[in-house]
Amino acid sequence: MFKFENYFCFLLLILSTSCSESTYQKKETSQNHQIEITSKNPKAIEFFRKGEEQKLNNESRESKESFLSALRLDPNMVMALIEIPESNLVLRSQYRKKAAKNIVNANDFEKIYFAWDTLPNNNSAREKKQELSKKVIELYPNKIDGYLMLGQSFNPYDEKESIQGIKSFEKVLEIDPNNVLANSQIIRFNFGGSQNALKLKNDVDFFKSFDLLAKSTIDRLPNSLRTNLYIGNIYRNSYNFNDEYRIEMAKKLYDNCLKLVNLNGSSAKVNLIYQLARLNLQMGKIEEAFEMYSSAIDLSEGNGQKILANFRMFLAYIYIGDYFSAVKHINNFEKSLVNSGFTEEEILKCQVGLNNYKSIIFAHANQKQKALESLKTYKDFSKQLVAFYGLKENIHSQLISYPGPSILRWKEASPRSQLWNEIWVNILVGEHKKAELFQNKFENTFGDRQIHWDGILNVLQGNSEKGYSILRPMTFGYMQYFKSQALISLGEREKAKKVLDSVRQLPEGSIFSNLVVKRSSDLYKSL
Amino acid sequence: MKKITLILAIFPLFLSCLDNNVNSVDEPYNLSVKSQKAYDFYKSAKLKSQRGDFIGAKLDFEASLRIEPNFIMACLEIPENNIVKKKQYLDRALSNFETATDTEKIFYELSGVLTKDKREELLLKLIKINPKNSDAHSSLGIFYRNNGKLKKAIEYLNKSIKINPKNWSAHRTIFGIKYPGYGDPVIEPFVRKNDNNFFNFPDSLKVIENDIEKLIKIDTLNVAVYRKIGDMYRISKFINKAKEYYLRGVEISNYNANSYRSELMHVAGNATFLMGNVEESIQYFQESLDIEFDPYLKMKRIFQLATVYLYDQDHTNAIKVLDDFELNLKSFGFNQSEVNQAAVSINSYKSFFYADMGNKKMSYDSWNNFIKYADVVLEEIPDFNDSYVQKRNSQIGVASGLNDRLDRITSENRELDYIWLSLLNNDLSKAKNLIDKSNLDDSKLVPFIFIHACLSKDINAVNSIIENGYRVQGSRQNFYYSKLLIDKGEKKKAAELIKNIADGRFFSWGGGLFRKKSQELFEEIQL
Repeated sequence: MFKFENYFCFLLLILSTSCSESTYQKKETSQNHQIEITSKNPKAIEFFRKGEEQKLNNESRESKESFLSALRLDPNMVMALIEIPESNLVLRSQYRKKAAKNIVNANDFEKIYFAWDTLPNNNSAREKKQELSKKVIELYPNKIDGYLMLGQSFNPYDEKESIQGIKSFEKVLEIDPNNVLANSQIIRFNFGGSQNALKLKNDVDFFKSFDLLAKSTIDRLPNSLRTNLYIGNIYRNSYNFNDEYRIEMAKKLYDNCLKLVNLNGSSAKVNLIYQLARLNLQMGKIEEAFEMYSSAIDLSEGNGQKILANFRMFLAYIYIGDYFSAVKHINNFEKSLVNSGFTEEEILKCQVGLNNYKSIIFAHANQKQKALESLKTYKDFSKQLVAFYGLKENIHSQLISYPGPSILRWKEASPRSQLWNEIWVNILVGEHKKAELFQNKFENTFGDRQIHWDGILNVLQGNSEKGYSILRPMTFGYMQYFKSQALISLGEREKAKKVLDSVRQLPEGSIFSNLVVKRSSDLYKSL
Repeated sequence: MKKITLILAIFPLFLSCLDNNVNSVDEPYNLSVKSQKAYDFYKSAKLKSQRGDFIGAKLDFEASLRIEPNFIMACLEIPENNIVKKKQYLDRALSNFETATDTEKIFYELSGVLTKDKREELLLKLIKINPKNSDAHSSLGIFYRNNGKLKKAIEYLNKSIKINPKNWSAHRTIFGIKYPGYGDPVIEPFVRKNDNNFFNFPDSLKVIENDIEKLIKIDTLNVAVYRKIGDMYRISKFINKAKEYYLRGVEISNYNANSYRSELMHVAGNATFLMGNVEESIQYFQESLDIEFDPYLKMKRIFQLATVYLYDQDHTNAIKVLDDFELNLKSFGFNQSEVNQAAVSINSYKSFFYADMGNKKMSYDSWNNFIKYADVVLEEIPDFNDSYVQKRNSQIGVASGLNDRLDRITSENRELDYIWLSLLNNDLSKAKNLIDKSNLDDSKLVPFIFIHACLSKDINAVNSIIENGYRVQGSRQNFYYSKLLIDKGEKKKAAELIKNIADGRFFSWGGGLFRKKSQELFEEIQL
């Protein structure tokens, strides 16, 4: 809560200064506050900026074309080569190699940015990323870029780090109050993530602080697709089964988004339909939700969009606990791959993801044989994908660093992830001895023990006390479910109910939480 | 005299077309589209197509369809090169056929394969229900132009201009009638302009420059027209003027990153090559390739680059370009079918390039690979014929084709190509056997029998073929015939034949086998 107090004062300041002018007339971009970038063609810079803005709004189709337009005018433009959202990873790597080749012609900012952007967004690289961002701030203290980089170098879901991140974004707003990225990141760092979703549902004061910030942000940025959508999502995720205002707000913001996407024929429409589907799902309007999931698939244009829309549908079935339909749709999608017109890379990625999903779903549906068969297929395709990319060393970190939504689960293709999934599936299908052996193998090979698996393994083996002691500090939804099982075995029904109550309220999201929401809800009711 | 009278009669008509003081009464087609915004995007897409910006047009068609997914005209006209997706769009158009307006129904029918009579009937019907629409009239005018009916063509093109004095396609078609060739059919009494009949006369130059200026003024952002203008000058003694116009087009493309920029850059390379500046021309070709991003069009640029190296008789680089492409095919953005189709072209080219450089073994190895991939493609598309390639090209929106060799997979073309390859590899007895065994029509085999006779230095056989009515034409026949004539001491006759090959101005790949050799031979004869 403390981190909002400073922010509240700042908000008042913003509100008081912005009253005199029409917010609708204000341009919601901030190019004059940005560091100049290098290109032999000024028009290329215009297209680059446009591409960045579209990227911010999830308009990846248009954004890619704007970057390509920039490159059409200046094929060696470093920033366009770095920033282009290219899903073909070989092509992407070629763009980055070209950027590296031309980096000698870049300015100081671009050189640092390239290094910053090359580092992955994980705990080990964050410190280095922060250092690089500070260098940019030192060189260009009156420009927003360094502060944005610094803010994004912090972990939004770590309490201490998020405070630092917010400070950086606030610095951006001092220079450029209507900066869309900084405004939406402040909301994300304060209220994003599944843990905050839970807090928003149950803590009225916390929700009020969000509501206040959300409204003032929307007032200032009424035409920002990203801001409307992101805030709408948080209102939706904060729905606690009784405060209809939250749903109304989500709907209102999604309506704004719909107007905006229809105004410019934006490719973000597919994502918006998906968010509306999630809203319906959360409200229990299953039929309407699935109609929207289907229409999102129909409206998808690029192969990447189509694949993503299908995986979102699988996840929705998992969320409602309908494993049968999930597998049925996965199988149909898998069959359609032959005539899909997808590239070999896309087909391989799909096969890794689809079979990973199936192995996990079957494992959760007590279908041991099928789970192990799918696990084997997933591993086979994983090897093929790794070979396709020609990866030989640091396979895991390289795959993780590749862009692309994690829900597709093709990034699980590394040997490390294969073993990790093997442990998981074996635990669930009752192959506990094998799971233990794999756990040890994992620790010996990769140097870190996956203790959450130890926790779950103990719970499932009936060692509730030990299992609980391992899982107790863990707040991740999936582990919470097994924690509640341990508590029930230990006779702590009320405590278990409390844990289950938090899990059952989780919004539709990753495969992990989706797997346990329905189960938690059922178990909660039975208790 | 009759021709002169006709030209005189037609010229006032041309002049009247350019009177821009008439107010436009152009009434749009009656379409079923509901959203004005979707219609605006559609119109913008049409304009971009007209200006050569196919990528920009596709984006706008997509935006239009996001707003109104069942917009029939956008579904019909979107230039989608993925056959699966294109089929989906056409299916969507068909599924809305019942709610379509009469105009849309006509356009749907026009999108199919039709007889000339049926097409004419539909276009007349289009005019009947849209009497005040300039596009309907220009479409019929273009139809008549394409079918050699000059008077009717002019009549409808002028009607179109009367309705809308700025109708681009009507003006552009009239310009093409006056200056035929290079994409515009020749209709008597008009002829292709060359130095002797046109460019040597200062008055002619004034007329053409005046016409160009008037045409350009109608749509100053239309860069596609610069290709046409440059091509007209390219065959004249003013090759520098061709380059100038191509580069003017490049300049204008900068304004909105028109995707036609790559094409213009490429033809600027062609003009530069013809001016003798090979190294500089390669830079243009390379940049043209670098700034082409659509996989199909990029493939076209790769084949063009390889061809240019062949024109320079730099076989090593020509083959390297093809080898690099083959090596990266899987990550090129093609699906498996497209990969196989590209491999067909690569290996077909390589077999001839190797033969031309004297590497018989690699030539036949490549040929065997060509056959292997050709079989795979035929298995996938059993009803493959020449129209498949035409249909694909029109779907992509590249009427000039992709410079690929897919059409060579049919049994007849394979047979002809293998004879030709054997001749090029100097395997004369093998070629003779293939010719003797062939059941193909004599008219198709005679050119090879002729070349075989030339290579066998059998002047009697050559003379006998000519005496039997064979007209020696085409660069390969003329080249080998010239060589034989030189051997026999008929240098003057040989020089006449070879001069045209040595001075070739266009870059079809086959010409690359002979142009530079012919230049050297011509110089030799002069000495």
